[in-house]
Amino acid sequence: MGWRFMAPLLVLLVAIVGYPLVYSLYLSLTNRSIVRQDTSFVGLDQYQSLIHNSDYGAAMRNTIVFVLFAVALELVIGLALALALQKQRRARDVTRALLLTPMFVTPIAVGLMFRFLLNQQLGAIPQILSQLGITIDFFGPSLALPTIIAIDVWQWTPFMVLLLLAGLESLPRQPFEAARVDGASTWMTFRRITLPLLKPVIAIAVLLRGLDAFKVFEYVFATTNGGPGNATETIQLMIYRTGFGFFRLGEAAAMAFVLVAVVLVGVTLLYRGMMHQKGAT
Amino acid sequence: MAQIQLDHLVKRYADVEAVGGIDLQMPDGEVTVLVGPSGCGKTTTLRLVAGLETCTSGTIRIGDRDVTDEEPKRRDLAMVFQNYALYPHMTVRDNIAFGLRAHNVRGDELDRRVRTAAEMLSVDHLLARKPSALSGGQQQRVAIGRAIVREPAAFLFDEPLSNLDAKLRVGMRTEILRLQRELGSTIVHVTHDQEEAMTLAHRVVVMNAGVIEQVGTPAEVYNQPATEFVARFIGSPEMNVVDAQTARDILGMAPEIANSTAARVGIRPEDVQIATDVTDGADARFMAHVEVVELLGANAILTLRNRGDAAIKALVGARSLAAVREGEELEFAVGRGAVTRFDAAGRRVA
Amino acid sequence: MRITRRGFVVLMLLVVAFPYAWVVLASFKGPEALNDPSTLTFTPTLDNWRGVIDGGVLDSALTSVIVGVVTVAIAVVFGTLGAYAISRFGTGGPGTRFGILLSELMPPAVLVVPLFLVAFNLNLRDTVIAIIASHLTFVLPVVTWFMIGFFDAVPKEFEDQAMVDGYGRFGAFRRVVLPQVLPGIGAAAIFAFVLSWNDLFYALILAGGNTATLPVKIASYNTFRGVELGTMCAAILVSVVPVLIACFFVQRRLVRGISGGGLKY
Repeated sequence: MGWRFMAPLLVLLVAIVGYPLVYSLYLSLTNRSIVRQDTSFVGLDQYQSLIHNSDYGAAMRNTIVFVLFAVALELVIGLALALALQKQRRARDVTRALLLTPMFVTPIAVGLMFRFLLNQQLGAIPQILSQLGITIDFFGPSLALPTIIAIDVWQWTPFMVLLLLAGLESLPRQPFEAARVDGASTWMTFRRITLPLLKPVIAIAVLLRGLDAFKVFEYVFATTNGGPGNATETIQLMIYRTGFGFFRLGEAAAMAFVLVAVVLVGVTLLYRGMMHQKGAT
Repeated sequence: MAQIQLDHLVKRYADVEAVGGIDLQMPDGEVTVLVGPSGCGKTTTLRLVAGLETCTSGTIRIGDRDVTDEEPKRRDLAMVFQNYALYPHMTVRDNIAFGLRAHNVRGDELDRRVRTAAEMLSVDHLLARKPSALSGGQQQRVAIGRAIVREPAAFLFDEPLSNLDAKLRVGMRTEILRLQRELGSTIVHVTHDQEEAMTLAHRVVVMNAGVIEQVGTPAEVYNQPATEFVARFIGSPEMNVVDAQTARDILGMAPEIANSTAARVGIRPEDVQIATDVTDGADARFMAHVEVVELLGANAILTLRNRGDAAIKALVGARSLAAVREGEELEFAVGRGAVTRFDAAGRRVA
Repeated sequence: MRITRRGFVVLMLLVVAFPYAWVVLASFKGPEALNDPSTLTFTPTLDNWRGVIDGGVLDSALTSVIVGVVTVAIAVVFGTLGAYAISRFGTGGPGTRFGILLSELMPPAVLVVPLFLVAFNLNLRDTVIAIIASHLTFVLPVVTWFMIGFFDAVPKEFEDQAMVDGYGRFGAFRRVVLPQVLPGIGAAAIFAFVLSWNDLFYALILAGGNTATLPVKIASYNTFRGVELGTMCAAILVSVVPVLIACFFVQRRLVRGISGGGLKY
């Protein structure tokens, strides 16, 4: 019975997701390239060459560093903000609405906004900093990646806030009331009651955001394009350039599939964690 | 209105048999109540009759039609659910009219029938309201009105009174009875409340673990329970059941009564009285320690204990309480002919 | 303590609002004002906004609207039906609720190459069909997932009642269940539209010259020519303002929806 309702969805998903996935897998095992005349099956060669590709290694390193720092910052700031918002009484809806907006802006716009805000000649922020006597080159070799991380934090902390706030608001009241009667301090309540109860939500939020962060593209595309050197080269950017700059489709597909593997690992962890939590509650 | 007949009805989920072979006839124009503890299969049976579940095997006949393979919408039944299932996005009028529209009743006839049903349930002044604006009792009336308006072959009630407070529940019971007598409806009513079963039913069907323990009139299941399960389920407070040894040794029951053919004996609390009130001879006589006295108003429940054994409950009139003190010992007796005897398998024996 | 909390929130509000404010101001600045960020006063000009109208920004916005509306429409129809099956019948087994999300988490990089090749071979390069198909890959799962949560919240008894009253399964679904999840469909649709509206990666690769979406157009301002900065800011506002308005409306429902439906799985 259910299949009658489900069939259209399934057919559509197979067509636009299933087929491309399989085709991509096939591509990654070839040396397909738009500039070549012939395409031949090369087995795992593409994957093997990735291991020796130092640019790819750099991109992978950058991406991992990016994900770790960005998500960690978003979690900490997001948690603090969610706690603050939960307690807020005045102008609640307006504040929340405004604070949530960054996650809804198209990322390319965010990237470009910050590119010019932080630009040495044209940007307002370096201008303000120079009034204070501080000169920072936001897109220089040492600061470029942290700047990109900061942009991601600006845009995606609200996402964490959204999930954490929803989680906080669905927590039961009784444990907190009991803690008040027992005389626990704010910090103690946070550490021993809020945090443990919130753990499943935090786990989901971190995993969702982390998996999404791996796909970082727009900010780099808008600002440094991978530079200076390859300081801000990320995986998705590299795939874009390899596949649609150099048109080496087989190689791009292999890079993409490594990413898929990472995502699958993360998703499996997420699924296990969710099932475990479901059984425990 | 029509009779409903179930033959060898079985419903299996994976390896669990929720309904394990039911043969039952529910006569036309009567109220048949399926009663039993949670998980006994009564609601599953009702849902099978409605067609909301499909039978693993067996047949269902409504009137002279075999409906075993028919969809719910073709069975000409009306159902009232525990939570009333009033469509929250429709007015009371549209809720009541819903089933009629499904059967292509329109225009003047629709209006007339909706109004008649609403008046019968005293909700005609609420027709323009939405369910969220009604009290629990009013919602229940609308739910019943929605069922009545369809003039179906039979009504199915799935614990409709469980969500009402105690007073309202008693009031609605009387209402349902009045309506049934007026309309001559065939009703299949599911409940876990044995008191509700006793007051509403022409016929009580006591179910346990997917099978029928007994079918009979309220008087029959009360006075002649077929099994120990029925004896204990029907009647409040619950019948006292002890093994024959205890009956002889502690309750002073005569050996002819508590003998080897009867592994266990049962005594209803109202048959355990203060010895001085039992004047026509007794089947058992014993001293007991009065542990707790629960005053109900006209009656009181006494919890009696003797030498640390299981407690015996006695239901005495409030007037007899003068002689009773919590914590003290007193003599009690069981009137003649008030003992029910069960064999080792739980069946009642003469 | 309360002062620290309020101060923190206010600080965050400033951090969030500052870039918007800057963009709004910049959209009214002429080239001289843009080149010199140290001046606080400037004479506002509408040149940039005129550039928006003339320069194809509105065309690309229209394309984005079309893509978004079509994507959401398809996703709502297919996704709602599928979600109903998953919620009511558990179609596909217990993993399906979660498996649906898998598609959304797939990196666009892995799907875009085949989509590109197919579009190329079918000669669809200058239409929006390829973009719509690519957007569906992440919009469909999101809509379905939301709707599963909303359907879960409707008690099964309503359908049982409707079926006993005389409707079949689909009739019951249409008349009794669907009206109750309409608010949910609305919220999911808005959220999905925003996802489609904001996409750059797929549109960048799959759009032809005439079918650029708004984010692609904005990306095309990615040069260092100062004269384009103002127009770019205006174009950014064209993209951002509708979303902010939508966000205001959806915000409360999102929080409630996620804590009520979405976080339960």
